[in-house]
Amino acid sequence: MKGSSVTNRLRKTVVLPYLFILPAALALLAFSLYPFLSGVGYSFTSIGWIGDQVRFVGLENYRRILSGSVGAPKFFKQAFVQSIEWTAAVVAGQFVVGMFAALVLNERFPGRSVFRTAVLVPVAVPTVIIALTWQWMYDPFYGLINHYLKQVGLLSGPTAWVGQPNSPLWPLIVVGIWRGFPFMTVMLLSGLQGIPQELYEAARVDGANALGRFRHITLPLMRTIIAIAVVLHVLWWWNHFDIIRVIGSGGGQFSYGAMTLPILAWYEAFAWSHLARGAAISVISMLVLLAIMIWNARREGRSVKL
Amino acid sequence: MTTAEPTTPMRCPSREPRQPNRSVPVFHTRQLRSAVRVGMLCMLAGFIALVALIPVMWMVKTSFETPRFIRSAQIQFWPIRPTLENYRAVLANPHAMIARATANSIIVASAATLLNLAITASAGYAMSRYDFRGKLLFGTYLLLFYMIPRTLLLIGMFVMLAHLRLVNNLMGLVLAYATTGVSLSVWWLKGYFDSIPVELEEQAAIDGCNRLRALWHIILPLSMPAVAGVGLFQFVDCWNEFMMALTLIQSTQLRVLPVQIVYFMGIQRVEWGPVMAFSVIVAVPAIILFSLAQRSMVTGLMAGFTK
Repeated sequence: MKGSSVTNRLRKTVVLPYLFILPAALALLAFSLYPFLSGVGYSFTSIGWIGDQVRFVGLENYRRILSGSVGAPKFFKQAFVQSIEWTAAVVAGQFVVGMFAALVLNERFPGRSVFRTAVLVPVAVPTVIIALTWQWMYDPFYGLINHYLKQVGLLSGPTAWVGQPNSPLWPLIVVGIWRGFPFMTVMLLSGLQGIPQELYEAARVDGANALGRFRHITLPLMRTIIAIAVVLHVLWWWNHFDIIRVIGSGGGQFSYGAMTLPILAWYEAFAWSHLARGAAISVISMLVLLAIMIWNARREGRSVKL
Repeated sequence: MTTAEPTTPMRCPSREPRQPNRSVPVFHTRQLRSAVRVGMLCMLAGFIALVALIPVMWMVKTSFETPRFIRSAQIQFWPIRPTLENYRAVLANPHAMIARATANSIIVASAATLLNLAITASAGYAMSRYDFRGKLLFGTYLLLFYMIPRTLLLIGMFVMLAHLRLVNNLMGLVLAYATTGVSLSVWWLKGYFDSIPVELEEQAAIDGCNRLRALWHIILPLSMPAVAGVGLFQFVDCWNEFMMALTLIQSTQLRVLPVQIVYFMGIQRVEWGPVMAFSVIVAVPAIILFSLAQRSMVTGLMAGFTK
């Protein structure tokens, strides 16, 4: 291989690569691995806020969260269910819209690049700004959405969709789909571009219609990229914070109808000053996500074998 | 078609010979069909673009609208009576503290970006050029990093920074931001370094240039598109970040833009004009930098492919 002599010579300098990665490795140890491990550790202690006497309490926090009925534990079950609803609905929505957009933008037509750029706009705007803008669109009196719903006749009076303690989750799901579909589109588009056109030509000659071509060529060939895109989006949107925090609790109060496990963990830790229980909720949230990932990987593995 | 060579089964049954027979009508329907197809596609793409753009257009429109018309039943996507009133109101409002928050955001985002680049450029180089024990472990950790829930990381970081007296301190935020972006930066830069031929350093070594100097004087200048792209991305990421900024900063004077605007919204509840004007002010730099980063990412990847 070309350059192998150089690589051999480089191998002799054993110290240099370690010097090169040292700053990054130290930064990761101090600001990522250590906080993570200590966070897990705190979930087994009694720490409420900074300066508290830290005592090891074993699984007490977990027991309290899973069976308690006061404070955050009261909302735990609901947060758990809503986490799954939120992630499933947001990612499914992003996939459907993203796939549709990718299929359209993969075709040849004038002005395609302009449309491709326009689709990226939701990703470029800061999430907090997006959340505020949608909050304004959901405004009960002068908001865009209420206005159109009234015009179509679906709505008679002013309706507050968001920001109340018992507001539902689905208005936030709409925002999540809107915010996240462009990235799904970009990933799926890169997959679509890898499919040889001759396959479609051949299928057309064989008399396959558009739906058949999509089912029997596009989907099977995109299998890997779809799996990767969906897994990544599940990972991101399970842990999503900004939209739910800004719109859901827009009124300043905790909105239990529109919260997920990470939001509950944040409130318990930082708003209700119980870091240990917040950490425990985060750990449970992480384990649930991990279980979903493993289940999905095994399901994928099985279906590939078939 | 078959009359030409009926006895050669090997011949592919192509459609070429058929075309002259009924060329004119086929050509016409085909042209018509393709025109309809293009029209349909444009309509669908336009619809998708509209869905993507409407909230942003609505934000911009509201920011230029007078309060009276913001509260009118008339809905249109350009201001009914354009005005800069909202922008003036935000800039003049002492509670908006927009200058202070902008300065804080710029300081934090620039410092975090520079720190991030300083530690990831050499790491990306090592990942690209060397084989060493622990390389796989390091690389795996960079990927697994994304599995760690942000809230859990934040709880650990909060306690640690509190002990270091860095909570409610912009320095703490800088450190947090600089490290959360390490993973992406290292992978992006490694990918770019991979595209630069190792012969360049070989040549430099013959000329008596050591690795560190080669990295600094040869590789980094060549990698400017990637370094700029990474830098822009990190900057925008810090500019937009909300959760850590909300948690690690408590004092009014130290708030960064995303946190400040949410507080401002809390004070300003009913008046959407100034809030949307503030939003535009925060979003415009992010959109510009994002599109620049986007372009440099494309050129960077192109350079990677053509090498």
